[in-house]
Amino acid sequence: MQASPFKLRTLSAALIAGWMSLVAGPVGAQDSGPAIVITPGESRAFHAAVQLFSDSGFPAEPQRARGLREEIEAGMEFSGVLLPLGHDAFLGAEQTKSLVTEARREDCADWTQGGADALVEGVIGGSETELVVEYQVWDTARCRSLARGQLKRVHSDRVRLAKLLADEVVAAFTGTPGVAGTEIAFVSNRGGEREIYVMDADGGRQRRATRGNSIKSFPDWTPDGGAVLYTSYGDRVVPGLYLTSRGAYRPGPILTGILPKQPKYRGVFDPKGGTLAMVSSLGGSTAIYRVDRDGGNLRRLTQGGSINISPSWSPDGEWIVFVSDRSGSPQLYIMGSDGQNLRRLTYNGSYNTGPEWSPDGRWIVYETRIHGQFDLWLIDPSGEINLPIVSHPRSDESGSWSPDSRKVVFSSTRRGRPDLYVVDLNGKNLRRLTRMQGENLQPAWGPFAR
Amino acid sequence: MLRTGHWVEEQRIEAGQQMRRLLVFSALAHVALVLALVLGPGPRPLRAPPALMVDLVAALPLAAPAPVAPAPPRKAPAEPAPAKPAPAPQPKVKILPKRAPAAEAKPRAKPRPKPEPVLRRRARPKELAYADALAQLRGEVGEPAPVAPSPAKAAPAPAAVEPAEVAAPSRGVRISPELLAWHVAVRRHVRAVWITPPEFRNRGLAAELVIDLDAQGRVRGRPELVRSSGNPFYDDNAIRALVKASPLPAPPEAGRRTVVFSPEE
Repeated sequence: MQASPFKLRTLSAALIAGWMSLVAGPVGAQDSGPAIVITPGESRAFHAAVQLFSDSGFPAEPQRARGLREEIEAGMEFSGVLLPLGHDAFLGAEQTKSLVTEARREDCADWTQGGADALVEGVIGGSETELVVEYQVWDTARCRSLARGQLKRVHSDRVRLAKLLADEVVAAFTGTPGVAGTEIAFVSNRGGEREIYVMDADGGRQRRATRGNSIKSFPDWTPDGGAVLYTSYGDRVVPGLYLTSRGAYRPGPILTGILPKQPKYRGVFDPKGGTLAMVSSLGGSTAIYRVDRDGGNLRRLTQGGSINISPSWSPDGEWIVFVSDRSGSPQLYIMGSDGQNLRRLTYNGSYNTGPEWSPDGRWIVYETRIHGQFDLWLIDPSGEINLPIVSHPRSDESGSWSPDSRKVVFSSTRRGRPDLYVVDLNGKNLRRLTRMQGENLQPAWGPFAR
Repeated sequence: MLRTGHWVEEQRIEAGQQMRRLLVFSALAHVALVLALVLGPGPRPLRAPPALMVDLVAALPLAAPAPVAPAPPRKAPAEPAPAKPAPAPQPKVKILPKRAPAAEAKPRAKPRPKPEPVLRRRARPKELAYADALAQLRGEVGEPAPVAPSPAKAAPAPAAVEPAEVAAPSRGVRISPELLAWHVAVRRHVRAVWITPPEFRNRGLAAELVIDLDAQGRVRGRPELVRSSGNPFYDDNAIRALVKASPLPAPPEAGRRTVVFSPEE
């Protein structure tokens, strides 16, 4: 059990080697000679042509179709998987007349030759109160319909609808949705006190999610995206854990029945949402506990008098990466979710904190202090690969993964006060999300939009 | 990081010193050569070297000189390679639980130099120019190449090609240089159109397809998925790549071919 996440690379390589030896031998020999083995070249993005959707919606709005197309293209651009094809390159029709079937699609070659891997067509309809968009995604090379669906939103929510549609297009092509429609929770003092805020992943629709007079910290999403867990003093003497919800959950304090007199510094849901890793202190030492969401099965996972904080679950829920100073300086450690099989992960640098495990399980982002400033680094769970993702003379902190594991949002003081930025895993496409609105800290990227 | 910077600087200084030594040596050698020419015996009569006869026609069925496309530069894999950061030693720091939930205060310091970029994987060696030229020429003439089954001739070619190219032959399947060169050309051709998102890489996925090629390299009918990767999106992506890649470089012989898409670097 201990070896499973760390030996994956070796195991997969062995499987591939064995598999390849099978195909290279019998199949190739009997039928068509030795197999031609294709390995990938450089990474590139797919390109999608987005037609102007035909618009019969009510009330009539001349620029609605054009605006919707721009918003869909912006959503695809943000995710970075399917980039919008320039309209000048369109060899097929600029506008959708109606959604067609595979048998009636005759212009696939035009789209392919124009450079489109995908074609997005759509029809806008709806009523005075509701916008209804039917869409279809095509694989132009194979001339196949990959997905066909319908999205509904109130008219004022058109941008959101466009982002969700853009994510659906990405999902149709790769099996993993885009992240334009996802949200990020964070801490900001723009209103005076530190409160929890939520925004779209591209920085849009920034809005306050909590109210009160106490400091709020460490937001973390429920795995279904229905609520944000955070730490606050509320009306208590010691800090505790609270939920802010958009309907499915009851907002307010949680786990009040356990460790009632101990401060609860931070809580993090496991990937299934049924269990929390919780940081609490007793007698000078800070420990990580595991507890069911209803307060049952409380169990202390870290022992001894050292400080153990910042837990983050592996995507399979079997492991927890956390920070401990048991070696004399803050370093990352990994333990089983039962507290067993403890292992130190970082050895470089004297101050490594803030880990978060990527949703695909391949990386852990963390912050390391160099010359008094923090940079974000990646390390794989085996500890063999360790590299910077963003580095700047000012501090970059609190990395949090997009649900597709392609991007990281973080807080940076590169322009003075802390602001939130998002960057691709390869360090490219840096984008600032918050501007001149107090201090913006501790981002937590939510799950895929539903 | 500092240590790395110093190390680089030291290398530069050492290289400069070595260059100076080489220049002195070169100057002395030139002086010695001039002296030898001036003081030495007179020039000997020129003798023509023995002629080497090369049967170019037998090696390559040239129809017309064809420009050889330069090999596309192979970038280092997007995936990062191992690197160990070496931050300067910091004073021992004890993290203390704050009066939570206030965030941990972190000291701010003056701007500092950026850390050295991470080490990248070594670039893979370039493919054989011979193989490219041969494949291109076969495509130009559109004729099946004469197969040279002689082990003595076939043996050196695979050794000169990167190991990934000869995965199949290394298992004992004998392959002619012409076929090998065609494999290389096909591989390059398909890679140019195969888009592989990061989520498909290094996951142990591999899909096997069989295609039916005509003499010009056109894929007849639809690629046939004979072994799924287990991920339908990956399989679809492989089929998509073959459809987009058609026509492939003209094969030595028309017929069915097995293609394996493996995203392992």
